[in-house]
Amino acid sequence: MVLRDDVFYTYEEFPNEIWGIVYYCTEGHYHIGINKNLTIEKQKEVLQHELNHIKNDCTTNNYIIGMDMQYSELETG
Amino acid sequence: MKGGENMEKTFGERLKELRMELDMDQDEFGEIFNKSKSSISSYENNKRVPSLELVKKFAEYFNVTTDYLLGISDVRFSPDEKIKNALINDRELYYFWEETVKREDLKMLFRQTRDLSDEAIRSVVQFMQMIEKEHGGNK
Repeated sequence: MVLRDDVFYTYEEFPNEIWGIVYYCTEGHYHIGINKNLTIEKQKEVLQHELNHIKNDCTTNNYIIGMDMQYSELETG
Repeated sequence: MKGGENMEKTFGERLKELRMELDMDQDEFGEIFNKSKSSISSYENNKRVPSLELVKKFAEYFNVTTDYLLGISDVRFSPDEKIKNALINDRELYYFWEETVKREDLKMLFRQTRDLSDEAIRSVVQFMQMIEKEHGGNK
């Protein structure tokens, strides 16, 4: 599904430890993969959160969305 | 070099362990880095501490993380190595990763894969491969 010209999202069968993935492809598009096993509410929450993140941070980094929306960029070292 | 409560091994112990895994004596190992046998011995006995640059070179040589070598962490492999190990039985995915890893923007992904299971790592790389096949330039 397309959210804006350069942002796509799909629901995927990920292991429980992964809530989602944001992947910036070689063609310059953002792809959000959301774990389809999450509740609908949680899926919406993840999607909205990632859209805001892409919109505000303009990140071109790829990252995995883990439990509680944690990101490694918040980690030290 | 001890620096943390949970640390199980010292730098010297790790260095010795890794050297012995390769069946090398201190002389042979020292030669590679232009160091004497006594220097290597003093590192292994925690009597002297090598420069950070040398620690990095040792870690690269043994293909382990510097944290592992320093005894700070028990995570031995670099993220790239961990990912490759998870993909070892899937040739297509493995080659896809080898190409993808050249991208600079994977740094964050690298940090995150440290604690993931092999299954989770495969899921992540499969997702990336699927996207590239459908949308990307690496078709």
